[in-house]
Amino acid sequence: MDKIRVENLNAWFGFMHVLKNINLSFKEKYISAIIGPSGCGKTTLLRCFNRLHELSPGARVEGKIFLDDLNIYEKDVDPVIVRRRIGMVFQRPNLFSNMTIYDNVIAGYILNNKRLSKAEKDEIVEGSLRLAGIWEEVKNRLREYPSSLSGGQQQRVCIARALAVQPEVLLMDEPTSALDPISTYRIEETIRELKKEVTIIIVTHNMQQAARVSDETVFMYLGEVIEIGPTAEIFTNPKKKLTEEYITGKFG
Amino acid sequence: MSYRTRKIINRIMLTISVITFLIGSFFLFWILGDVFLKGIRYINFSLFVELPKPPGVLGGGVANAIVGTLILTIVASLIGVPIGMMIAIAITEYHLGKLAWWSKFLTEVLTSFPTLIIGVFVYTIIVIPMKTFSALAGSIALSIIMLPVIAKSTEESLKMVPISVREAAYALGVPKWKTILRVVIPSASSGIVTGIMIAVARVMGETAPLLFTSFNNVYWSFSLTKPIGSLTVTIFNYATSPYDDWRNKAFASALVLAAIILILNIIARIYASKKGKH
Repeated sequence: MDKIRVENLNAWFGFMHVLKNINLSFKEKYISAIIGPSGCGKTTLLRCFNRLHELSPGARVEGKIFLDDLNIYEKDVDPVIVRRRIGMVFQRPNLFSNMTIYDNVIAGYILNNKRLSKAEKDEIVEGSLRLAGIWEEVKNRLREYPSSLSGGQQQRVCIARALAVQPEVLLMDEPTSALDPISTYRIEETIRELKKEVTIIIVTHNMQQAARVSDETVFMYLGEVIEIGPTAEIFTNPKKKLTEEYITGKFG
Repeated sequence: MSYRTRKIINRIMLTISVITFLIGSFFLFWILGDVFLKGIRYINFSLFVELPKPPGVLGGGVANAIVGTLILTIVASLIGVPIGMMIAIAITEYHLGKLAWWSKFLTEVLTSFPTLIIGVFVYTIIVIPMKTFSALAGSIALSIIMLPVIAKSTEESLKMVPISVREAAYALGVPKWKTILRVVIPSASSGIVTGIMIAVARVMGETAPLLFTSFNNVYWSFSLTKPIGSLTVTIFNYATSPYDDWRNKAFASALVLAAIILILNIIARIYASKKGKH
C-alpha cells in the first residue's frame, strides 16, 4: 500500500530548477531513505512532502503529491492540516528554547490551543519520549530547559515532539549529521523501532546509515530520481551505472 | 608585521578606546552628578504628594507632574508599542516586498525627525480640532516618537530568531500567525522588551512636543481630554523662572525624572539577562 505517491513533481528556487519531474511512491510503514550527493535536491524533495519548501522566498512547486488519496497540492488543501499529518525532524535539533522539555514534547498541542487534561499530557509526554528512546534519560528533568541536554538528547526530544501529534508520516532530514557516533547509533535504533508506528522517509548523506536503517532507497542526482528499489538491491546490485558509481564512492 | 609592532599598535588602539570611553562617561557622570548634588537637597516628601504652590509661596510639590508623566507615557505606550511591533512583524515576517521597504524607510526617516515638528503636527491635527490642549494629544505625539524606535528594535529582535525555530512550529502544523505570536515573539521577547524600555525612557525625557500638545497643568488631572502637567515641562518652566524655590524644585524634579528612567533601564537589563539564560 502506497502512503505517499509523487506525480510529475517540479520545484524551483527562483530560476533554479531543483526537482525535475519526480515520480515515485513510498510504502506504508516502510523506512525509505533518500540518498545522493550534496545539492541533488533530496532535502527539497523532503520539504515538498509537508509543504515547507514553498515557504522559502522565491520557491515554487508544481505537480502532485498524494497522501493516501489526498493531493496535498490541491488548491483547497490547507498546508497546516497536511503538516499535522506529516511530521518532520530537522538536520539540527530545534527545540523551543523558551519552553521546558515537557512543554516542547506537547508543543504541537500547546501551540494549537488544544486543551488536554494533566493526565492526558503526562501520558503523551511519556509515551512520545519512550518511543523516541529517551524517557529514561529525561524523566527526572522534564521541567528543565532544552539547553541542559546534549545535542543527541535534544534531537531525540525533537523526534518525540514530532511523534506526540501522532503523524502518519515522519520526515527526517539528515537527523544525525550534527551528532556523534553514539547518539547516531541510538537514533538509528529509535528509527527502526518507530517503523511499527509510522511511515518514515529519511534523507541522509551517509550511505551506511541508509543501508543500516532503510527498507527502500531512492538515489537522486542533479534533481532527478535515478533509481529506486529495495535497499539491499540498491547497495549490492544497482541497475544504473550512476548509482553504482555513487555507492562505491567514485563521486559524491 | 612583527610581533613587536603588532603589540605596539594594539597598545595604541587600547589607549585610544579607553580615552574615548573616559570622555564619554565623564560627561554622563558630570550631568548625573550635577543633577544629583543640586537636586538631592530639595527632595522631600511634599515634592511627591503636593501640588505646586503659587510663586512666592514656599513649599508645595510636583506630584501632578509625576502622575502626568506616567499617564502620558502609559497612554503613549499603549498606542505606540502595538503599532510599532506590528510594523516590525509586517516587515520581517510577512514578506510584503515594496510595502515593507517603504514602511522600513519611513520609520527610519521618522527616527531622525525633530520631535518639535511632531509636536506641531499633532497640534494641528488634534489640538486645533479639539480646541484644547490635552493629555491625549501629548500621548499621541509621544507615541509617534516611540514608533520608529520600537519598530526598529522589534525588527532586529525578530530577525535574531533563527528560521529553524519557525520551521519547527510550521512542521507541527502551527499556522503562521500563531507561530509568530506564540513562538517567534516569545523567543525575541528580551530584545523587544529592552527596545520598549528604551523607547519609554526616551519619550519620558521629551519636552518640546509636549509644549504644543499636553501643555501644562498645575492641578490634578486624570482626564485625557484636558491639559496635563509633566515633569519635563515643569522642569522647563521652573528652571527658567526667576524664583529660587522653583529653580531648586527644577533640579529636584530632574533628579526624580532621571531616577525613573534609570530604574526603567535597570529593569530592562535584568529582564533581558534573565530571559537570555535559556
